[in-house]
Amino acid sequence: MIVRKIVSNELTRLFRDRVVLALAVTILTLLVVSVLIGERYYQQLSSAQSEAEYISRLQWEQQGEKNPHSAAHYGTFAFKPVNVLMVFEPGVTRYTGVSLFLEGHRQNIASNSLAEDLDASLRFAELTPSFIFTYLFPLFIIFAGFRMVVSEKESGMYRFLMAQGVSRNQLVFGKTLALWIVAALLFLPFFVMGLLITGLTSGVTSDMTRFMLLTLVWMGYFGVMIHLTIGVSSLVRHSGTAMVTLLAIWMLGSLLLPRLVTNAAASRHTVPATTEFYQAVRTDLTEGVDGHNPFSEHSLAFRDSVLSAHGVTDINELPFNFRGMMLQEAEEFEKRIYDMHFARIHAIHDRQLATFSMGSVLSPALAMRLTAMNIAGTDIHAFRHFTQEAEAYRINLMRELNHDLRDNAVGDRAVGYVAGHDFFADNPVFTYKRPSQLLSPLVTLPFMVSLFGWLMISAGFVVMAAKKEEIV
Amino acid sequence: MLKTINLTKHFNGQTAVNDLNLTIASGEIYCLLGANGAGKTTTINMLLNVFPPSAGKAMIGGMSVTENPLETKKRLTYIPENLALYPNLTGAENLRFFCGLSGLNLTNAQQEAHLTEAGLQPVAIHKRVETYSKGMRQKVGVALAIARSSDVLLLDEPTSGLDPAASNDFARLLEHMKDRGAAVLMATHDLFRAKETGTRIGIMNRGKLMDELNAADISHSDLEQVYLNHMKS
Repeated sequence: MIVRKIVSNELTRLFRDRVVLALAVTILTLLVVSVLIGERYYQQLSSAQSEAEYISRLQWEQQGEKNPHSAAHYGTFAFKPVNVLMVFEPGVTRYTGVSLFLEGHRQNIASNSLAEDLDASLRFAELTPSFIFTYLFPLFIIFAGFRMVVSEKESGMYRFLMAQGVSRNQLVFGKTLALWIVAALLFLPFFVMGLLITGLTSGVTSDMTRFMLLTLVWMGYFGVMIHLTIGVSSLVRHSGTAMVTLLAIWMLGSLLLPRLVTNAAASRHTVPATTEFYQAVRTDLTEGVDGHNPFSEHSLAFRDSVLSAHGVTDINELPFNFRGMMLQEAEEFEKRIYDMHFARIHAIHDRQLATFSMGSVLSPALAMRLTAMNIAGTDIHAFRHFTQEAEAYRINLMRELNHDLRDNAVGDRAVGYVAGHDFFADNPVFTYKRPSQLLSPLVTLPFMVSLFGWLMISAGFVVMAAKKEEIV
Repeated sequence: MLKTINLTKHFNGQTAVNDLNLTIASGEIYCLLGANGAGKTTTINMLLNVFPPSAGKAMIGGMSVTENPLETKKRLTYIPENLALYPNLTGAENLRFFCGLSGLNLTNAQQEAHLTEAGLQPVAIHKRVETYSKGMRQKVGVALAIARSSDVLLLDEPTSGLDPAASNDFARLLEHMKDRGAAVLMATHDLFRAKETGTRIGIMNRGKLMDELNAADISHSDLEQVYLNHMKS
């Protein structure tokens, strides 16, 4: 009863506060604009990608009569379907891109450093809902709430309220609830827009469920800021102290710590530069069959083993085209080398993620962003999944090309052999499917635990602040 | 209606209120005179249960304020020197909120009636409190006491900073509350107002009640002399 009165009184006063209203209108406008910009970007990207995907396939199918290995070098593209949730949480998508060039002998790199990509995504670069939720929304919560309890003490209202039979618990709980309601009301139009966009784009699918999960994550983060704001406001004696303390918490948690953590992750677990990476790959590739050099030591050894296995002395005596077989052997060897080097990069990424996990214990903003990126499917793991699928497709395509050469080219004259239009048209099409699970528990769990921990600890902080005996 | 029995409060080894015994009946205005630091506000704070006494008891309506904090608070209205009201709410909205805290839901007509009875001009009732003078804010406090039919009024320097006309208005309101049967305890520096408004006058110095006088039995000049004598002692 008393709490309800305090909440309703607080809401009336907040709605009449011109500064709070102006801030709320600004945040709301920025949110709407960011969603509209994001949605437009999504539409443009989707349409451009559909067109590029169509043209790319057409080019593959209509490349004319061609030697299959020339087609392998001609290459094609794998496209990652544009994810509607990037409107709200673009994650590292804008730095990793949404397509990958696939060609013979080589796995291409799209992203090199998780920490650098994440660092870039944490910069004040683009107006996105996630940017607003990470930096501006908490500022609004601070501005709306920093005076809520402390001003009652400054004005003498606190004692007056106590004289009316209001307990400190009721006062602090009422103010906390009022700030929750204000934050939820400000979030509501965005939530409706988000549901409409995900619903209209992909129907009632996992995207909508993911959006709702994202909402929970964002609200959890706002909850942390609400609790910290009211807790600090309850414990200090002057509004100025509350404001400075909360701004310091905001700067530390949202700006400084995420930057320090990403820098620490990048410097402690350094990903090799692209040139360095390919140099190391090239060095290791010399240790196996070279599809373009039949006279290399390993190529000759492979030839001899094949000849011996078939009981012949010349490759022209083999019942298939040796060149096609050797290219496939080389392709498989190259894949093993690339996989090994990529596994090293992924291991470094995982160590960087472990550093982020430790950092998220200190920064709820980091915990929130990393959880949100994973749920939205815009984190490095989502991109890694795409590259792995694309690589599986590439190696399968290369096998088809090499086997066609092996089975249909005459004798050793592989170079003169051409496959027809029908062959290329029958090659499989790459269709990427996102993982059906809503999040990767192993990846997200530490961040979710951090965020939930922050929510619980901050709630405990409010309870402690409400219980503190104070004479004013 | 209001009683303190050997009420004592120590802060960090210093005695703020020392063995205070007060009894204020319904329909009585008791003015507690004293210099700054005499213990007047500490006494009121103990009656409000802001902090517990170090010894003794504070009672309202026969109940200990520490044992029955909510019940005793329901029976009193407290008006400090600077009544804190919410500036961006109107007088009527402030009254509705504070009454609502004690479960009293007023209609618009009741709000207006109580505020008018407390002397607020009808034109001011629906204006935001940020436009109010101090005297107008004190009237909202009195309207709260009227609305809640408070048995006890605790006033801490309520006329401090009021112009003479506003102070006079406030004194009339106290008379009105007395006639409604309220027991009023007013801490003040103002000897003239204490003599004019009070039924009885208590003089406090260094936490002790030095003297109790009937306002009707003493002149202004004698009261001043007695007060000064106690301050010197």
